[in-house]
Amino acid sequence: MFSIMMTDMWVTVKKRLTTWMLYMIIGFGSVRILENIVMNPQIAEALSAVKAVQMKRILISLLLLIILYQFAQEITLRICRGMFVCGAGKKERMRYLIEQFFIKLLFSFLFLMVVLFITTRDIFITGNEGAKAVQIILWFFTIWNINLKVGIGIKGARKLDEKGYAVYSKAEIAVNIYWFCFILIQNIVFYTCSLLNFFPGKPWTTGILVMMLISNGYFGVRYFKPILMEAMSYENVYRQEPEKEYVQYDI
Amino acid sequence: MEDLLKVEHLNKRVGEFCLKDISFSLKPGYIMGLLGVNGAGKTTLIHTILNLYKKDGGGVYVDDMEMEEEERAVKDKIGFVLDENMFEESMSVIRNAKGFGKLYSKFDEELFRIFCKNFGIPLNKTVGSLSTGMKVRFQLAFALSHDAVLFIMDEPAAGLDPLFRKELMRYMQEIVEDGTRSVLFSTHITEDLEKMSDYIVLMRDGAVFLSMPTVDLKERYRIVYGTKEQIETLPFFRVIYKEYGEYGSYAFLESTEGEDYGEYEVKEPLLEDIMYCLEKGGYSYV
Amino acid sequence: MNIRIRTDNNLPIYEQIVGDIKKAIINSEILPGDMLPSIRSLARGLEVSIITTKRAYEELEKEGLIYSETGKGFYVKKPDTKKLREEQLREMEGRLEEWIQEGKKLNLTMEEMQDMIKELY
Repeated sequence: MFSIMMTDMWVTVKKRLTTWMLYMIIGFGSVRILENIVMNPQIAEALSAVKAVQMKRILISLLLLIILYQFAQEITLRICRGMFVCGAGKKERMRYLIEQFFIKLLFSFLFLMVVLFITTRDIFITGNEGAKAVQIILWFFTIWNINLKVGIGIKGARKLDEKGYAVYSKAEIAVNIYWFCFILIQNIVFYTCSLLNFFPGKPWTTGILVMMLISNGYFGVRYFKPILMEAMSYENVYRQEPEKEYVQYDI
Repeated sequence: MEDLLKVEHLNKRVGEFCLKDISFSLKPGYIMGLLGVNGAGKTTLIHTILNLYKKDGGGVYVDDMEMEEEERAVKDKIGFVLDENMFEESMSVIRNAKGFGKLYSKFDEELFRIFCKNFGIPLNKTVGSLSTGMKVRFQLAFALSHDAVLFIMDEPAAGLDPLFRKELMRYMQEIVEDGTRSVLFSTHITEDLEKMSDYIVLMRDGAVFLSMPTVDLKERYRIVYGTKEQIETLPFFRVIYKEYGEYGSYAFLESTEGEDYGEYEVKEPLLEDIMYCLEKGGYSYV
Repeated sequence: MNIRIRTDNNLPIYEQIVGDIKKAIINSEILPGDMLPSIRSLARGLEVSIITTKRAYEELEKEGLIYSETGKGFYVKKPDTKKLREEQLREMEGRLEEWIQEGKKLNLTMEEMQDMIKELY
């Protein structure tokens, strides 16, 4: 099962590899360019509060998050066809999806940490203990959010309602709009604070951590199963052409 | 003898098309053909039986186990040969078999290899690169390797040469020979069903038009030949369709007890005659 | 025992099987007490459906030519040769009648038809 799941994802990766390499090159290229801008003495003075390396870390981690977002859009959660017709029931299929999700979660996390470490010798953006914890939690939930995407339709074509508008389920709206915006805001706040080297004291950080855990945790857990359930319908995921119109029987 | 497969009042809507109140059953040891023109709903029915499409109502029972309630146990007993490829195209035959074989309680890899050898399936080629005929053989080999009792095939012979079609029919006969396993297969090629099917389910527009033993079906209808005038003035009851030709005419009718067709030239219709005439005649009496 | 299914024949398949087995019994190709192939293996051998061979055997049983022993199979019964011969004669008479009708259409006289029979005999 595992090998089939990995192969399924790997096929998508192979298909999109060149595009992604392009993204990476453009991305890292831009970071380099920005670095050089920052190295410019005049600007460096203005940003003296921030070490150049830290700036680099911020940019790279943002870039990586954008890349991971793109990855997640393309390698969606999907049950392979065989699981629908071979000896597997709802339980087995749900387990397949959950395993797939956690593999993507783990991979994304490792990707973030490894690349950041290779390029900047440290996975943490700031030296502040509290900020370190916030960063990890934030990464965790950001990855959780962006990977909660299910592959619908053969070419990702959405079901349309009578008026021709795409149909999104309540869970998808909650995760992709509300929670996503919330995550976005949290990231903006975090990175701005890192940039300005502004961190509140210990009690505040603990409070923030708890709030983050509860609020993000709520979204993450509450909508986990509902989103996964979207992928459990063979009809939805592998939508077939409707039965052909009756063809004149000729002998 | 208990039913191996029982379908009861199955309903399913797919877009504009509906499966309506489908009911039939199949005992172990027989071959059942699912017949119908393109668009009659054969593939939709098979997909719904296999729970690929979630049914709107009714029940599907294999060995008295309901499909939705005990899906894993039910599918463990089903071997499939479907029109679309359900395996991973980019993985090799053997890796697919090993991977999906794990989902079955009695998958025997050695047996699978033996079938592949007999069928001429290359184990290390990717499934996606196999020809249509090879894909069918692969599915059959896999289906035969996990001790399935019910074989469901969706247009397995479409696109195959007559040589392999004959082989396929022979395999089906071998499958049911010991009396414990059954085959349900859909097709619009009636020749395959003519001699070897035990039962026919004829579908029309999403519903079951009839479901009966093949021999009974062929006895139910008659084709009567004659001149144009003879056919025009046919004195029989349940005439369904008449066709007039330059060199002869005929009528297709449902035989009634007591009617004597002795005067005319009469023949027992082939399945394709039955399908053609029913379709042309609107499935009801003239 | 040779059984052949003719697709161009007007007779339903199971009747053809009945006919061929009957012939084999009459010609003593198979003897009373001989076991017939099982319904399923016969079906496979002839490439016909199981219900067809079942029907054929049921017919033969009804006509008193074979009997079944549960758990074991079907066996040939000692045939009532007189009855069988009567049946065959009746069948031949029917065919003879058809032939005579054809001859009448061709305007053959009875003597001409008799001559034909003498020549071909």
